[in-house]
Amino acid sequence: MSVLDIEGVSIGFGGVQALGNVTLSIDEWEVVGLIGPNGAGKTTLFNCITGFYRQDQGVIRFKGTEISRLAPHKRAALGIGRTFQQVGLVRSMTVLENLLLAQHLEVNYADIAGLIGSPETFAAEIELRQRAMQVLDFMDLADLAHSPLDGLPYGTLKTIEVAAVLATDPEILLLDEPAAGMGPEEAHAFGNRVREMRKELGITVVMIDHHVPLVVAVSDYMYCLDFGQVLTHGEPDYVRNHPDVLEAYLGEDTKKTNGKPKARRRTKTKARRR
Amino acid sequence: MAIGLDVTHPMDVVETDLGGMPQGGWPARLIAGVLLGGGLLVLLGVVSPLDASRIGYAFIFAIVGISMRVLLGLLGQISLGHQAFVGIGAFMAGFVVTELELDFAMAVPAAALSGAAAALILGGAALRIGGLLLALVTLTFGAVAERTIFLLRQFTGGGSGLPAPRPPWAATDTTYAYVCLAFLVIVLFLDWRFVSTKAGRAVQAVRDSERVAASMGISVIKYKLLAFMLSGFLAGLAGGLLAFNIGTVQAAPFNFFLALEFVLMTVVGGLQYRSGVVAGSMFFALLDRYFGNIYDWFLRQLDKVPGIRGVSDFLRDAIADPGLLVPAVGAGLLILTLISFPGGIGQQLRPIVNWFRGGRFDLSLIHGETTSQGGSEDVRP
Amino acid sequence: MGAATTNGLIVGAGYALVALGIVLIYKATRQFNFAQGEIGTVATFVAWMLLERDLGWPISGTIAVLTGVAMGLAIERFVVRPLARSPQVTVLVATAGVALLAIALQIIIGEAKLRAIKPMLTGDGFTIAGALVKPQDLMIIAGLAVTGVVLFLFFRSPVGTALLATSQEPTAARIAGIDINQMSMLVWGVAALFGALAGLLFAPVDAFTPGFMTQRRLIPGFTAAVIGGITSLPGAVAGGFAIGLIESYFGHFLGESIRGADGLGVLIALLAVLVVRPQGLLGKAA
Repeated sequence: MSVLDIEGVSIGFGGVQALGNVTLSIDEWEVVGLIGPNGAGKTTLFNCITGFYRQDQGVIRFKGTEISRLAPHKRAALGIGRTFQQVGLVRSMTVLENLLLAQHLEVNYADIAGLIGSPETFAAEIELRQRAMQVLDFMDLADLAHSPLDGLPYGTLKTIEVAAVLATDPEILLLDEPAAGMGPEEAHAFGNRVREMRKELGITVVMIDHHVPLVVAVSDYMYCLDFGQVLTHGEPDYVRNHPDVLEAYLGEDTKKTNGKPKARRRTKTKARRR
Repeated sequence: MAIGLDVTHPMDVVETDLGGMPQGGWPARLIAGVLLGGGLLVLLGVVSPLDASRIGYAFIFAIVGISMRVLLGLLGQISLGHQAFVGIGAFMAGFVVTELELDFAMAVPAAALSGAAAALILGGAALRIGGLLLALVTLTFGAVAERTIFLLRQFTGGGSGLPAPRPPWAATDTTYAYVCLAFLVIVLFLDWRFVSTKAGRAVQAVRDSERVAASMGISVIKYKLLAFMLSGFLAGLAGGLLAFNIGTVQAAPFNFFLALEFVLMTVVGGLQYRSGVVAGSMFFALLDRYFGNIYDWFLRQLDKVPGIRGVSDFLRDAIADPGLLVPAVGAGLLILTLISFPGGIGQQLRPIVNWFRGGRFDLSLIHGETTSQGGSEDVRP
Repeated sequence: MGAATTNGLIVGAGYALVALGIVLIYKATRQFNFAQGEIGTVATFVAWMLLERDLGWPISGTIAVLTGVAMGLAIERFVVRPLARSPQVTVLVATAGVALLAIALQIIIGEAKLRAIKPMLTGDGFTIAGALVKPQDLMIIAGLAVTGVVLFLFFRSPVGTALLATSQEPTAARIAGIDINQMSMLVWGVAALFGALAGLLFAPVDAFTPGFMTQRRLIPGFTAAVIGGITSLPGAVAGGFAIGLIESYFGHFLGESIRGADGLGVLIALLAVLVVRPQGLLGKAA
């Protein structure tokens, strides 16, 4: 069953067509990779899905319901979680506080009850902390719970951001360049963690990253965007070797470097398509 | 579908670690706290009624400071027209006791609610704007309050003022100062719970990034309005208390300079620190009231120094009313704080506050980063 | 009605002058200068002190304007530049602190008195549409006209072009060898000049007190700048006239039933523009 259906979505900014008639479909429990050169429209697509942009044309359905008219926070409430290229965390808070914040929708007391210090809110806050610590533990971040965000390395921040989004209890997770700023080993570990997340938490994942081998290793299915259009899609190995994709990434030099990605592929975990 | 973490990962919860060995232990903290609190209670009782009234006035300013902190520190939006909300609260309190002939117990909630309503209307009208434009809107609103709302004859007695007699059970300056202190304690509790729970966190997220907040399911509009409302509520409450502190509500004190004083006492206090905001607000309120005394004392000390008798005489001549120096001192402190000590007084108080919270007495916190938010003044391991 | 229009336009010309300074600084540095009005009061205060010593308007006025410019440069150097990396609101609060400090110093030195300053031009006024127009009123219009022409020519000069480039592409401008600090000083100096001029032109129209430009002219000036489009110099002039007219009409038609109706008109105009056309009358859509 498909969780997210995008049909013929187009959006332009002042005459520039950022997305042109993009159609894609994401199945439940699937890890989908989204690649494409800079300016291909990947983040724009995320912004349309999460409601920061309203598409000019086309339909976006989440579990069969049209969501194009919903405000961003309502889409988040439906279970669409996302990360940002520029780290979507509150910089002035500690790691733990960010995770408490991320559980906003899980909090079952009223705002006013919290304000006047109603007794049940103290208990609820303790529960929120416990749950936050569980998520941090899952992401191997428990040691950092009380550190302020300032001064943490970029790669760590990206992982914390994923932890925060997990704490929002999403059904689908849109990751925008989660491995940016990570070294190769860190990125590899992160890839494994995404697979683990899918397996243990039953989340659907859509992931944008420039690090193509990582996306290939992690994804069940891939889409490649270029100039706001779907260039090609299919199983990771098919997409990464598709001549159009290579040309989009490498331009004129397609033929010279054609064999290179294939050679590196073997070192990565083999992605299985269910 | 729920994440179900608890099922798949029944791991231990890591206890919140406050870091390091507490120095002095909890009994010492308890004793220090009791001495401080008890000392304050005793002090209010032994000082003259005039001093008690001035300290009560400072407590009210501290409530205004917390109101400013909600808007400026937590939501990150500035109000240059906060005297309007305080004034509306004060006039509402006067109106309720004088025109409606109801008592204090009705007047103060009415004042707080009127402040909340005014802030909600203004916040709603200016919802889509922020930053500098909102500053301008609040500034303009303050001017309208000063020149129009406070002069509406039906509501405010039109310039001659509204009497606000104190209730019989708090008729003296001393008892009324205790009432103000009680309200300040309640307000501090509310502020503490606000930043420690859902709504306060959401407001701070909106301040840092509306997009990030929305992606976490936070309604940006709702929490902006909530912060406005809470800030207006506290300002109105302070206004209501102020009405009974001064006895007669007139438009004159609620002018543009008061709005600037509210901004500067909050900024000098250190927006991010509850303790700093309270200290800064009370400092300015007391400076306002005691500057004349301090100045006289200073001149008398100068007189005792042989050889420079002329200096104090010159100063006496040059500055007839030392109260006029207060805004200059305040403005100077404001600029100095912004440029050199962005953490304000609160940053300087951090070692003490931190110790009370179970951390170490660590003087290096004074120079530490100033990003810590209210409610998170604890030690980082 | 006719008199209200005439008066509105004259006062509006003064607001336009204040707004021009605000727009200039915002355009170049994205900051609001809360002390823009107070620069005018300080200049007025200096001019008054010199006029009391019978120095005459040409000398007093020149020294007063130079004092205003010096104040603008001092604010730039000692308050705004150290806060260059701070949020906009911080700079606003800091310049508000400067305004407060200036007002406090004026009160300490000169007491909070209502004073009259000698008009620049004397002579009988004449009547336009039922409103008495004095020569001093015409000075405001003339001051605005001269300022407008100077600004128009300035932004066509190489320095003006460099300034525009700096405001639009600071990084590129730096690479092209434009000295950002110098540009910032230039802008603050010129804006302070307008501020001083506005104060000197306004003061003789009626009495002045410490802080009179901040208390009575700053809000209309800011509002004029915002409704004109905040980065548009012609917008600031249009906004100034619009606010002058709105104040005048609100005062004329509602003044008897509502006190402070002119100020209410400013708030309504400000909110209306921000809600309906947030980019301002002559501003470009973001």
